[in-house]
Amino acid sequence: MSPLRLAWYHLVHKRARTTVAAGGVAFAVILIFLEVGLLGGVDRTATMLFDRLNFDLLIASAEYLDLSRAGEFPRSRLAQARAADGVADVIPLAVSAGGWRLPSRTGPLGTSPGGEVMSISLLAVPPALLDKAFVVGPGGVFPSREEAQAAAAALARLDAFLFDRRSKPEFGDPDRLRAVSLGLADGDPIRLNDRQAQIVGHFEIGTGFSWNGLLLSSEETLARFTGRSPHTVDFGLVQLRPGSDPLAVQRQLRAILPPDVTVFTRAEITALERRYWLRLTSVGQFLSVAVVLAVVVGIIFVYQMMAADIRNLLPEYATVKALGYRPPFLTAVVLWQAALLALFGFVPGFVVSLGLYAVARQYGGIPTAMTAATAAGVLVLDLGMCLASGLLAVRKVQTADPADLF
Amino acid sequence: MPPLDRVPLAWKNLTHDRLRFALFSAGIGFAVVLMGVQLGIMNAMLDSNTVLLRRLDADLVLVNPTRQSLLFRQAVNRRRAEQARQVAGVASVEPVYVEYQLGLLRHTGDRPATRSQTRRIRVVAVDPDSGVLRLPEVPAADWERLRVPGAALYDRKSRPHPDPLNHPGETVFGRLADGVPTELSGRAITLVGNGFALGFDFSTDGTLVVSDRTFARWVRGPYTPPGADPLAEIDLVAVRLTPGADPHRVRDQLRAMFAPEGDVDVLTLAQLVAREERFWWTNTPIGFAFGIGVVLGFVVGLVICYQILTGDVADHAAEYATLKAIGYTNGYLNRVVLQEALILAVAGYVPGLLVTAGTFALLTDLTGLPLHLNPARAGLVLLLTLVMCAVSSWMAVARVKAVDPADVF
Repeated sequence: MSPLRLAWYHLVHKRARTTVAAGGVAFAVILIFLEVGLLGGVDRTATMLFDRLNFDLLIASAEYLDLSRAGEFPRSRLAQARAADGVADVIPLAVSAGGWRLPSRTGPLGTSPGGEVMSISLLAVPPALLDKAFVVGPGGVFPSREEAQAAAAALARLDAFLFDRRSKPEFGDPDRLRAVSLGLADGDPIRLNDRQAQIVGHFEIGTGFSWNGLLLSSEETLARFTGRSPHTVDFGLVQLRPGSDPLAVQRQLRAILPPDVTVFTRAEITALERRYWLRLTSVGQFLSVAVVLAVVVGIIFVYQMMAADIRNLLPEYATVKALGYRPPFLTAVVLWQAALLALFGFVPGFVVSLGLYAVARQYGGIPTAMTAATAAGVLVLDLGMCLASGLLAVRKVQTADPADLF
Repeated sequence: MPPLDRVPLAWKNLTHDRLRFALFSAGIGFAVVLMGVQLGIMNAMLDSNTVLLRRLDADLVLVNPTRQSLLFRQAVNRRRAEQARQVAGVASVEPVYVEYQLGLLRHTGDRPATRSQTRRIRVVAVDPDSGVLRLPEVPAADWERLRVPGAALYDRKSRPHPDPLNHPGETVFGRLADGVPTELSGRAITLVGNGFALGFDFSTDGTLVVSDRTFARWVRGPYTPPGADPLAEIDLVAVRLTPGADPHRVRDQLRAMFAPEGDVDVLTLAQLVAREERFWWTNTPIGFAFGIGVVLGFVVGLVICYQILTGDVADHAAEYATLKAIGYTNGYLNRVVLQEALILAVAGYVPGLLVTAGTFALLTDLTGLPLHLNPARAGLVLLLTLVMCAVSSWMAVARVKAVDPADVF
């Protein structure tokens, strides 16, 4: 009989024990998946907006730290940048925040009366450039160019906003908000910073650790609601003529623009933002610690499971030895058993984790996602943990003396 | 069967094999560390947003009822503060101004690349003589210097520069030190003193403390219509009571006085802190991200403890069967398993808490965010550990009941 088959029979024979042990492994897998997923959510928060903007180079304030602390710079820098060779256009983007009065809503935990204020992030671009500023298409900010242009036409009105469909549910149902705005349904008027606002359409970006929800408007509307100066912007989205070299244009822009702004390539801003979120924010630092903690606890936990499982099979192992099988055979059996348990634990752990990720996205507003790399990484870790525990536990098997048992 | 009651069977079962007992305790201990650290991080992140509020020397605070977080603008009119002063039991009423939006601090560096940078800073203004803001790091002489218009105390725990290797000891505002000249909202100010330690949080990178007069001229003045008082709208009104006054009675009196207009809420400092925490709890995914870690730690501990206990029951099946055969009841065996669970809980909790405390110190050092292990939080973790072990003993006991003496022999 091959070691794999013997290991398989062991596990199948002691079904209850196998279920408990696999359940234990599953918990370790869930724990690691969850913390890795949350850390991935921090990572995705970092580049969520930039990934959905069209730019080859990005002009930001020299004091740029992260999106919520972008820092403003004079609008005239955009005109200066447009003069550079190879630049097709520079689109202004303003980022701000406001207080959104929550509507009453009925959820699984009962009805909340609403009326509380929650912070919401505000983006502003010139409506005519909406389809050029944002990624348009399947999975983009707008599903099609026609929809983007329709939204742009609606945005041209004062006090009109587009609402991110993937904002946290507390802000209200996207379709209902629109219906109320257009007078098609009854409901409380929509209030942003204590002024009445209109929701005239939708877009899709999503939420993260940085914001709970997003609104998009024209710069004039943003200025009316936040009182910020129309002479400053937060970003300039530089779009190049086909065939221009981004690095050459970057050098040129750095030479012409005063030191109150910096010019990033897409790779640079992505790296900077990820480093900021993962290494410098407390949530990134703490979740990194939580990942390490989850792995350590997972290893200890799996060892406990494996040791207990093998201890229970000691009499069988001793019998196998008494029958004359060599120690390498026993080691192979235990390692197969460990590998099988790793797989039995991984599958339910993976499925539960998918559910937890969905809960984190839906109720926590955390952009978790199960990537192939995450799944493969955790599977390797899971197998490694189980095999290492098996190797540790196998020493017990080697000392099993058939004579002790009878 | 009284004689065996005097034998600490649970203890003997567990400690019979010292190495295994240590391993078991470590298993429980890890669950304790997991819960403790996740809970600590969650609290630290919420705590960081209320450091300023907890430094107020106030028995009661008047705030605008619609202001759910200090971050927002709704304020209390100065007339209301004057009214509060008339109430019996009120010793003093001190205005505290907090500005998040209008305070722009110029980078203190002198290289051209940094000279033009400004960054939002939280500006807190009080009367320097009032003592309403408790900053233990600031000596009386520094408060004295604050009376000069254009002087500002600075937060030496402001958010550090993102590149600490090339900018050691610098904050995002540049180097902050006594005598450094810079600009606040476009006008010259001078930093004085050796700095205080409030720290940065979700909404602010650092704090300046100035006198109310400086605040009026530098920060709010330019945004106030001519002829109006820039200090008329107060962010927080700190009310201190005369010795012996009953805070609840005074609070009720103040509430009754302000009830008709409904524009002032009277809170204790603890209530104000709780309100701010609630805002950050609901407005960030922090509670979710770290709360779920506590839950998982609990489940992991539950399963570890269950494993240990069922393993123990299986190992001692013959002994338990013998005990049953000679007349001991299931109740007695239940108690033994429960005792084992509680011994494991304590044996895991003590080292687990020590490791948690060490991790807190390490994390505080690494991140600058203060993690505190206060008795309430340590107690909560102990409670969770005990519940976790008791529940798993209840689950494992089902196996003891199934032990049949006849099976063993």
